[in-house]
Amino acid sequence: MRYIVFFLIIFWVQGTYAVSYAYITNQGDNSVSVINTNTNKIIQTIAVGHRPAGVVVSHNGKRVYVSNPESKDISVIDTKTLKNIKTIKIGGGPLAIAISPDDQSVYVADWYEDSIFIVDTTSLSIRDKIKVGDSPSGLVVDPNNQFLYVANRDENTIMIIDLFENKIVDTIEVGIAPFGLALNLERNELYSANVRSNNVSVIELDTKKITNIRVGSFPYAIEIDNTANRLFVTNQRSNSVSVINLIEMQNVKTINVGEYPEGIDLHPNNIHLYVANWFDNIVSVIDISNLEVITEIQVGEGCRAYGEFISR
Amino acid sequence: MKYLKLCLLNMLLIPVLVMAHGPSRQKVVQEIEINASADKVWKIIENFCSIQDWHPSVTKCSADNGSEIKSIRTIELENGEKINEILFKYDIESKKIQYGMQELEEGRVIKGLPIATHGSTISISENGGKSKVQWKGAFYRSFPGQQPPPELTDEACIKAVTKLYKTGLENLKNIAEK
Repeated sequence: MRYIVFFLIIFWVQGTYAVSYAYITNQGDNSVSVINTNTNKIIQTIAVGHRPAGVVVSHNGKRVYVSNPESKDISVIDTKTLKNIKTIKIGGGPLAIAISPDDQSVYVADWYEDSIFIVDTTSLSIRDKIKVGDSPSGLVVDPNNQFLYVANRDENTIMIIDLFENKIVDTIEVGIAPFGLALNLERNELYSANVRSNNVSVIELDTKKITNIRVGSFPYAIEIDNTANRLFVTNQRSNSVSVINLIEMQNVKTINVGEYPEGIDLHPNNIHLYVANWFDNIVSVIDISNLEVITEIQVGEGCRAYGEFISR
Repeated sequence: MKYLKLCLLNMLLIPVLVMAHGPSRQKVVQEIEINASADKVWKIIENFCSIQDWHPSVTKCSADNGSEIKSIRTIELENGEKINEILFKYDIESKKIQYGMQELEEGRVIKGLPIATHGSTISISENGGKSKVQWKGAFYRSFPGQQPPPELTDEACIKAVTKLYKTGLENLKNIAEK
């Protein structure tokens, strides 16, 4: 009985205090807008490097890593103080950014050096560098920390890197100019948004079989809704989000959002989908139960939020 | 020898597949108020190729399929540069035309307009007999490397696109208010 009470208190405390925050990179303002997702209000704006684009929140919620392609570095934000605590120089043009499940390693795709940099999050320095294909643009790490998947935009491939040996173990051809990636271990599938062929490649990881699903114009990033076997894809030039049904394997609905939607992330409540619209400087919040935009939040100039930008 | 030729041919072909541009997309928005109805302004711009009539910097235009979606127009600028643009959306109701530049050949820099991957929208709204025309676009600089010469920087591109939109809108106003 005592234990039950103890656990109930723990749950209550977590339930009450676990607010999720959305960290939105603003390319034009060189800043990150921090949104409290309970109120959908900006609580802080943090200065980062030049032209920030990619973002990832650590799984424990304590840090945010932001890629700044034009100052060629990443900014490390402490979420308690909401301050930029460190800037780490990275190659020639860091863009996509991802983090290992244990929060120990940050992976940064460098567009100009065609490499993945691995940053040690304890020492906050570069630990390793892996050469990949042309213009790596999308990254996803599997939850077992076994493989890293890289989309090479300018050679239309996805590379699979074994993270134990930091070695490329497979290269898969997909649609034209793959950008955002998403991994769905429940279905054992990987998805790439192909900017130039206006489709999403579904890759069966066992067989490497590929099915392409047509979406809007210039698809950019992908989010998975496992509860309903769906994908959400931002279409930059169509100003919309495509809803793909993974059972029917097709685009079943299109939701209009702002102009040039880019980053997309599902809130841990599995209800609210956040989309950063680059041209309009607005984050759209979609209720995925009825697929309607329920609110819009004005953020900084040229918001991109490319990556997993909501804390869990 | 045959292989050598093939190799050389490949070396020539491969770069064509790479679509390079600068790292950060830029945006430009220009607006103008015109003392004429939205219908009147729309009549001037409704044909995809009428840009040759209302834009002072466009000397010629031909389109392969009129104002139908996916029609490709080739516009010629005063300096002789030719640009292919594809019609994406054509909305008579909301008086909106959306188009984008066809992908440039590798290494091509348009003189006076050093941009790539240009997506653009012109829209007309009406307010009490007057109309407001908005022209906005998103693009990258075409220079792919990290240190562009001054005439190919992001700033130079923003300046060139701003000028393109601005001179077009000003002349559109002149014509519509005549």
